[in-house]
Amino acid sequence: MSLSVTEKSYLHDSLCLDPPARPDGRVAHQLRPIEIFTDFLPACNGSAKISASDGSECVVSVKAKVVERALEEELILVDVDVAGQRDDSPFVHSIASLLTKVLNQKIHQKNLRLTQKYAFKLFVDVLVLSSKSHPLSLISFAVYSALKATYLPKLISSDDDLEVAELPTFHDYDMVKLDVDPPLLFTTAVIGNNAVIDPAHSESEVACSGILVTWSKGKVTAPIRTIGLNDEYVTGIDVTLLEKSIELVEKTAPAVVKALDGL
Amino acid sequence: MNVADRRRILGPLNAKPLQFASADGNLQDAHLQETQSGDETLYIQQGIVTNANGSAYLEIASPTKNDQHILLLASVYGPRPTRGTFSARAALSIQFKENTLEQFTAGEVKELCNFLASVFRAVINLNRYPKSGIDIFLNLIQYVGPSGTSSLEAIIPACINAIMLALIDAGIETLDTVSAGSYKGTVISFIRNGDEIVGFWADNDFDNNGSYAVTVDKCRRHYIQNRNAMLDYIVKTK
Amino acid sequence: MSRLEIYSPEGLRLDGRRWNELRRFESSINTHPDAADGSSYLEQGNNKIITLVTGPQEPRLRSQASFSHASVSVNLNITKFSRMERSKASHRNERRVLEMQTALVRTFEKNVMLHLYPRTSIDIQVHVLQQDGGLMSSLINGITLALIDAGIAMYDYISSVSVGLYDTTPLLDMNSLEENAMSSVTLAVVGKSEKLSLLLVEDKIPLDRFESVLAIGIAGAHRVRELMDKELRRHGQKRLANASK
Repeated sequence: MSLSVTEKSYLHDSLCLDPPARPDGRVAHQLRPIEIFTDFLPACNGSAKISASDGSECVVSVKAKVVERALEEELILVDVDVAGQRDDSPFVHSIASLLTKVLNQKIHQKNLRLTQKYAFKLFVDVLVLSSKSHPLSLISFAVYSALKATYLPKLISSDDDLEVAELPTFHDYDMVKLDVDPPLLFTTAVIGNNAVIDPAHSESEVACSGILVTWSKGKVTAPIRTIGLNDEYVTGIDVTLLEKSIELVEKTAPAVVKALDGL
Repeated sequence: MNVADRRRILGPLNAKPLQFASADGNLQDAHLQETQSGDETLYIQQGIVTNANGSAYLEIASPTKNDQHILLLASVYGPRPTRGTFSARAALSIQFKENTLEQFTAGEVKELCNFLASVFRAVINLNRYPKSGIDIFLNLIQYVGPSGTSSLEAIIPACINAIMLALIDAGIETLDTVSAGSYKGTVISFIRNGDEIVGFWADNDFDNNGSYAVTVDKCRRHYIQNRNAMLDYIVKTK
Repeated sequence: MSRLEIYSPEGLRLDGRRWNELRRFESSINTHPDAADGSSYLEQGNNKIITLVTGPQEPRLRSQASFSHASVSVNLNITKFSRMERSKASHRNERRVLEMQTALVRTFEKNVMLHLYPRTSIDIQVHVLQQDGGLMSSLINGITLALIDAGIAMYDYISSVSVGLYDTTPLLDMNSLEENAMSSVTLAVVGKSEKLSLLLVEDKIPLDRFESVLAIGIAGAHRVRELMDKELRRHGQKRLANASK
């Protein structure tokens, strides 16, 4: 769906108002309604499916594998597949790389440690079935829910020695819930003197700049980055607007975390 | 279907512009300059890639930051005609390549290119060049990070500065002289004397290195140093 | 030879079914109304498949358009996490996947009334979230449902099922354990008829047993058709009830 020049100009002007008039009637700090299902793939350790009101949808699977800690640099690997985009497109690659980096940074390795020699490696596969706006925050919500609903086999062997060559053994059917606190990524759009959270496709088309803000363990943390949401309307933004975006996320994030945890 | 662009008179494919031998043998020297920008030493040379529309070579040595050393070459090709459907604005592409050691993963390089493209989309006056493409290539010739480490945020300011100088060399219209400053892992790219941000990249928390306001202020100071060094060079050589 | 008892003397299979029983078959249509023109979600045993149909729409390239009929394309995405063991490489350009795509296009080109939609393309995207044997048959059933949801004219249902031959006994609708242990056939049937629109034999099947394999396969496919029909009617009634409110 592409908008005409007139439509874009109308949207831009109405979003510049104070308070911004968003096309779907939301207020600046309101997210679109989302629907999440978890644990629907029995062949995976954890899974989640998220769909937004505009038809964007994303499926996340978490699979675990026992690896030797010395051989692996990163214990979490994120792989992203966006329908309609090539696997090697810069967009897909940079999302996967960013998520891998953020998850490895924010999730402590001790949560995945089995013995001195072995640990679980988590493979987080993201499949974006359809996306109209920038899918990053939708993906991060799905990854959050999937990791929160991940169950790993229970360790029953008690050998914890670097010299022991045998692989750790697990209980036949008992599973332990993975106890992690994954980060959430929010996108905001800056338009005129306003910052709005979770921009829809039409809002992204006329945004001056997009800002990615990470929320982890109850506070805003790095990475924070500007992202290009369109080609046409991008301009520089006032220094204070970046701070405004961060405040917007600080205001919204606790409620989002609470909602996702209540699942 | 292979239809040539008939709306524009094009020369033969292998045509080269006329070039006259330079009258002054010492012209090269005029393009050299070493500038002290804060605690960094900057060496700038424009126009060393002859078949590109514009290029800039940048050497940055910062003895205060544990001997960080960056050699970077940016070349700009375009605006050149694109095939296919009509577009009202120029298409911008940025490629990054490490010529010697590969220190960054493919994913990190893609992230960097995406980020730089979003910065320069806001700065280049793309509306001036319909039906064209501007391709920017970055070659990182050498990068020695503080105590052997490699981090993306250390080279981003250099990338932005080098691209800006190459764009000036190519005569491509920009809204302002964009440059970037960094402070403890946060990189901010400014325009309009530090009033507006066109790019923000923070991979480390502010908490251990001061508040947001402090970070922005330090980055702005560094930006102004960098921008002044670039402008100095341009004013002196042109 | 596998140590598993594929078919017990009492006539029970690994998962407790008898030789002529189907796996759990659950489907729903119009699952992604905003993302595509037609969509379906199918669970056949442990296969879980999302199908999205967009079209008839203007083709992306003018060269793809045909003046006399619509063009059908199938994009099969078998996810890396679809099996028990995660695969490292993407399945996208695998030979097997390309072959399956071609077979699916051929099957549906014959059944969709393409002449009604000249100069358009119908794009089918299939995402396999989980697979457990008899993948091809599940793909066909999923695509049939999604095409119906998209409102694209077809001559009849195409329902599909896989059948294996264990010694002399044909086994209906195989899971992956059974599929690995014996040779199998996938067949797709047009509506209530006994016309086959696809017959896929990748192993050897003795010719004198082939008739019994086909017979149970056709009966199974008819049963699958009934199940799909039931779901469609249920969905239709729900929509009608909502519309008349």
